[in-house]
Amino acid sequence: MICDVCKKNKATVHLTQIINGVKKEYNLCENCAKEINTMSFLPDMSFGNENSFQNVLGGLIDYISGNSYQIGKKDIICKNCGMSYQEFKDNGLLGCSQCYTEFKEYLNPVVKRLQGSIEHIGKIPKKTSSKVIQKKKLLKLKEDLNKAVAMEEYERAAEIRDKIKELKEISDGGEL
Amino acid sequence: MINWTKSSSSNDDIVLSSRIRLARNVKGTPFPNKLDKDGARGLSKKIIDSFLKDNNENFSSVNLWENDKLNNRVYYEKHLISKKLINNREISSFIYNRDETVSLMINEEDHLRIQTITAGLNLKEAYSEADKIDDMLEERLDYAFHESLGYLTACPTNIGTGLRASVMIHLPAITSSNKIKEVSNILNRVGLVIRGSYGEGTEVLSNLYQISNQVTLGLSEEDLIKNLEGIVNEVINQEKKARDNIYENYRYELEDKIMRSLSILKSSVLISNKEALELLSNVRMGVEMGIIDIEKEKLNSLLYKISSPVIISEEGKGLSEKDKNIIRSKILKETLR
Repeated sequence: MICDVCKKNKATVHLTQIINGVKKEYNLCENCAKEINTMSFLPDMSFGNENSFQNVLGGLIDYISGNSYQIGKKDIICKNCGMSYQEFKDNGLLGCSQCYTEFKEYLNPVVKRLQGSIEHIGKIPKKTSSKVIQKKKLLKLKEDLNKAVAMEEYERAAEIRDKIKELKEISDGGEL
Repeated sequence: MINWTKSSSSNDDIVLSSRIRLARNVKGTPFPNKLDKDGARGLSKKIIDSFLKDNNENFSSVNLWENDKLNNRVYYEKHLISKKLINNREISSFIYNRDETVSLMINEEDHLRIQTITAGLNLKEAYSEADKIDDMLEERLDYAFHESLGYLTACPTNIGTGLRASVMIHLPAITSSNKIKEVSNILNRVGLVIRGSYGEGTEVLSNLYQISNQVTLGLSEEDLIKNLEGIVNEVINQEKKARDNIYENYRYELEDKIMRSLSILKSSVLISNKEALELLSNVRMGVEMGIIDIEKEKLNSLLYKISSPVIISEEGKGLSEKDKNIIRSKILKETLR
């Protein structure tokens, strides 16, 4: 067996790591193992292998959505770019923006797990329809309101509450 | 913005640079990993043409497939482009400004990566610059944007804001007390990550690390930046405490190490990049702690001046390892004289 890192020397050290429930094994030669040991740092960093993160991601995807996906179903393929869900699982990259819609059912739980949220409250392109912008503004304000309350800044909270009210009145009679 | 390699920031500043990166994609077009060569190069031309139309004076563009491999490495050493952009050289390009504080990478993992770097801890300034460029590009391109997922990116770890904010920070004392792993665990818990000097999947050189946000969705850009800055300040405090601790208990050993490092850098005849970077970290710590006085600008610029790709590009190809080591010693001697 050859060393996974230098791909030259014979591997004599076997290393097993578990990240987020994903087991990975490495075979290393003595020199590379020493180097990694003395660096005492995150394994994916010292290996210098840029794909390692994607591999971990692939494993994580399996871990979260794996079971529901694997049982008796055939692969989903994105109609726009031809990317298959299996391919995404293998390399951690989607093929086009449409993939997010095509793979939604399996992808959203993964995103939720990775990001802790599936609701964007940051910058919005100016070209976006005014309805979406309005909705986002409200979301952001509600977020701010929660924060203000949590920080016990009641004066600020009241201001935000008034702003929310105002926005709701503008947008078709408080429907939001 | 100030180019960090040319900046003489305050001496006790242990943050070298602040960087903002925004990931953006064009609606409907497959991401670079699914895009064929013609399509990708076409997109690249479209982005470059539309951007340079109004920004001709301060910006230049480079197509990596037309460029010399070595030249590409030099841009990498200056942190202007990423490893991934070099790996994609058959289809990738970038636009950069004269000060080398802004670069727009095209066909990296995403169609567009807007990157701004400024000296010291100043993420706000870097973001406001990136935001301006983003606004400008948004007028000309149709971005892939989803109502609830935000800006869509090739990897789901970047969606939402598409924002990665990071600082390059010098942590010799935390490193030598074997606490990096501990710091890393704490950072992970608050949605941040610490990595090698050149970001994801890179080695730690000269005790320089990058700390950046991991989460990109569900928080506003301002909050992401504020969180990072808050935690970075905490890491700075920890590093300074660790340094004070060393100084109190091992003052002479520390001074000895710093002075010896400086002497070797000033007087060596043959020196490898790795050794030089290690010694430079000691010298930098000496400056940051007020033990010796050398302009930070010199130390910052040395980081890339002594790298092999930069030496080869200055001195010509066909240099042996030994030749490079000789030249490196000369550069160090001249700069630190």
